Amino acid sequence: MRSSVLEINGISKTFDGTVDILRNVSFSLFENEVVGILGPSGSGKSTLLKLIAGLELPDSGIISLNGIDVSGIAPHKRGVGLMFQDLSLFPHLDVFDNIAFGLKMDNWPKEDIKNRVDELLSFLRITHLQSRSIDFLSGGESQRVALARALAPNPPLLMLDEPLGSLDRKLRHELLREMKELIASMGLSVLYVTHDQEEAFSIGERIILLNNGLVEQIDSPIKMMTRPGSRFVADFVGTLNMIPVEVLNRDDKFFVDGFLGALELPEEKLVNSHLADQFTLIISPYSIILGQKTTDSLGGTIKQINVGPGYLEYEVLLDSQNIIIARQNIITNSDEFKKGDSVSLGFNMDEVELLPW
Amino acid sequence: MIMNLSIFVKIVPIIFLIIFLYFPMGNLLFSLDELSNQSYIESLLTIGRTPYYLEVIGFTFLQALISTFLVMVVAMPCCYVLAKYKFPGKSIVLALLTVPFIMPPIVLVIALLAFVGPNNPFMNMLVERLHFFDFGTGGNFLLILIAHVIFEFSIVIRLISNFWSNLNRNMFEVAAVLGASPSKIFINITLPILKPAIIAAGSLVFMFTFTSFGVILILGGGFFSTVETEIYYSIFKYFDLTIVVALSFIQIIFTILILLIYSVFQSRANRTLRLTQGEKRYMPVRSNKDFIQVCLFLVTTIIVLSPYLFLLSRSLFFDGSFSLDSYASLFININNSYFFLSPLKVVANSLFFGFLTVIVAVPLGVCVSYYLGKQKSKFGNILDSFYMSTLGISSVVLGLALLMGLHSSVIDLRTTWVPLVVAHILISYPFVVRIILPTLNSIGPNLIGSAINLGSSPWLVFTRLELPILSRSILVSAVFSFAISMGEFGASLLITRPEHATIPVHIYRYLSQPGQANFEHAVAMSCILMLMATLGFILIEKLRYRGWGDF
Repeated sequence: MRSSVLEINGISKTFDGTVDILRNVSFSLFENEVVGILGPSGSGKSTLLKLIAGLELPDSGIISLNGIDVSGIAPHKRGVGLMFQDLSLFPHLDVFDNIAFGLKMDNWPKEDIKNRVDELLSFLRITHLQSRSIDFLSGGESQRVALARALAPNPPLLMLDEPLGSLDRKLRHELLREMKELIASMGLSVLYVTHDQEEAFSIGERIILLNNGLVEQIDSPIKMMTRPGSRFVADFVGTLNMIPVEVLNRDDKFFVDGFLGALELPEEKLVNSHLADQFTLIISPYSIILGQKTTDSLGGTIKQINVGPGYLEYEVLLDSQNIIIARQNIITNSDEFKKGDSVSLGFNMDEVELLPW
Repeated sequence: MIMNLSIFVKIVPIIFLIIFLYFPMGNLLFSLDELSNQSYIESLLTIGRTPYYLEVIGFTFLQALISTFLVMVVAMPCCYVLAKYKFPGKSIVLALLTVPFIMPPIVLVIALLAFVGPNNPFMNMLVERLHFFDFGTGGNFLLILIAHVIFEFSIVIRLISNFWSNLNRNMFEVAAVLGASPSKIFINITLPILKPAIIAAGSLVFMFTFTSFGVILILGGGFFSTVETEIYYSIFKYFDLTIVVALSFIQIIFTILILLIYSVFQSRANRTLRLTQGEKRYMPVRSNKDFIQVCLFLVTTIIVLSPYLFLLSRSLFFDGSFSLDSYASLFININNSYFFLSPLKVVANSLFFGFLTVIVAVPLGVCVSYYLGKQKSKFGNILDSFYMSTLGISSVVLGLALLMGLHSSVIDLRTTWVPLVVAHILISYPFVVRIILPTLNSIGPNLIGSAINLGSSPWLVFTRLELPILSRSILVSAVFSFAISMGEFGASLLITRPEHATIPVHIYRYLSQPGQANFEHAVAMSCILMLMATLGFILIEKLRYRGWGDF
């Protein structure tokens, strides 16, 4: 078990004492772990970081850094690293002095400051920028400078608030990959706030999904995709084919009954099912087998075909007017079905998930 | 069409400035050379050799320096409070703080005189027990400083608190997280970032106090003289025109230098703001410390505004009871004086000149801003100070130049009101530019570019796009130039013919006659002027839309 760098225990925060921003949030961050904090705007992500940094104070709850309760400790004594989306570089300092700022505040000897800044400059491949005014940096360069500045004092915890938010898509991909490598090679413990699911899932070992100040789910990206804990999570991560079902027990066999008709379900899929009174069946679009329509099979009409990165997507309109999405990996003869074709639907029931909501 | 419009915009202000500023100034310089038996170099040397003039120049610097320092010391903590906190009534307080800036200086002078006058028991105590404000001693100097602080306070507040509250708060939070304590943040981040704005505001205050006229003339009471008042004395008391020219020359050189400094630092401040502008975020008042800071700010505000309130109450209460006698007596010609003017006539004069000033200064200012806004060369700062130079030219010298210059064999304008109005126009149009230019710059080239792509001619772009966007700023600048015309004192004092007396000149005439009754007249008249300025101020507040804050 890795030791925890950060422990959040029952944190609540209101705005002006009336509007809830965070409600009873608890989680921990382990050493060398990257946790993505994901949520729509206004869900309380940034406030959470500010509370951890000490820039705002919680109404209740405990924040511990390396096992020490930091409630009464001012932000400048907490020693965490923080980087905002707008980067907030100091306009009156050049690149070197921006990066060196935290070290100067920590009264590092001049020689050590120089060495540390040089090290970061070369690590981030921006040595040539060191005496440049921040007025003359590109988006990607500014981003690296801000990252170097946050990293310089070796913070035990690095918090990044939408660090790639202001960049265009291509640069974002590039920098995300770089940042992943950097975090891994430096062994950093990171809280990474974003509203972008792709970004969070790419960088986070675990994801905390916030909604309206409440933790909806804390899980690995794969768990969150395959077993979303609530309708909100499922919607947020873009889950397809959510089918409200009833669970039936006939002759010791279990069936789920929804708009797809009654489907037999392997018993091991029924974990915890006694706890709920309503269920949702989730069928991955890759677990759907399309075939030639026969008279008695469940079927529908292909309403639309979309091409995505590496897959073909069929929107199938059922006779019940519900829509099911099926995907196939693109292979040479993927043009088997055409728009308007009648198709039958088969399901790989070992790959479905039955969720208690 | 493109050529026509841009030439028009460029040529009109230049022609106006040549006819009404550069020709009269040049004429003044050359005619004086003929009139006197000394060359300029010689008269400059005379000044350099005369201890009295060196003292005057030294005092001009000293009082401007001390005034600027004091204004900064008083205003900076207030800017801090304004940039940091939100509290109920903040916008009203902020609006009220505009009052001293739009209020004619002579009103403040009268208010301070009334305050230290013999009818104020509190002041009697101060004068008798502590020898404060004891005329003839350092009291005058103290009053001058107080007047300058009150008058310039609102400029500093406007410029710096605006800048400060626009700074990105995240920057300070990042600094805190990086280990900077609040005091270290202030020293290492806030202060260096504010520096250009502080220097710009400081140089503006320095220039205004360096050339301050009414305050020194009246409150200095003859004991203290600055370059500006010395020019006035040289014209009226000694009629020594070579000294006038030499002193004006010195004054112009310094004010242009100061304007250049202002211009350079203002553009640096703008650059900083462009880099760090963030969402405005204010803190609610939570702790006792917050509360005390806000209270101290409010107390400062009340002190700054108190002379005006005192003046108003003074005009309405006599010997402790409510009375409008001081207003009523304005209409009575006690001495059967030939020069007696009904207050209605004086107010009508001021309104008329104000109106003429507005209809010329505003279009002129729009043309100059339009030209300066399009100007992208590295001489922008110099060009800017060239157009703004009337801000720095002594109003007394300007008055003299216009009085001597506006005549030829064909037409003689000297006996008309034209020189007076021209002086008001020249003094107020730089303010019009300062109000309109920021709004004009905020209309992005993209907007104009897309309009041109859609087939609009530059004239259409101007009338259909820029003019509507500018309309608020134009209205604000109109009210502002009107207020400047109403309150202008230095040039008016020199130029005005008796029958054309404006309100400030009339107040000064009351003041220069002995007797309590005349002083009561001055108080009443000042209140009328104050009322009109307040109306203008309310209008500006109603119209304000990113309007002004950038001078």
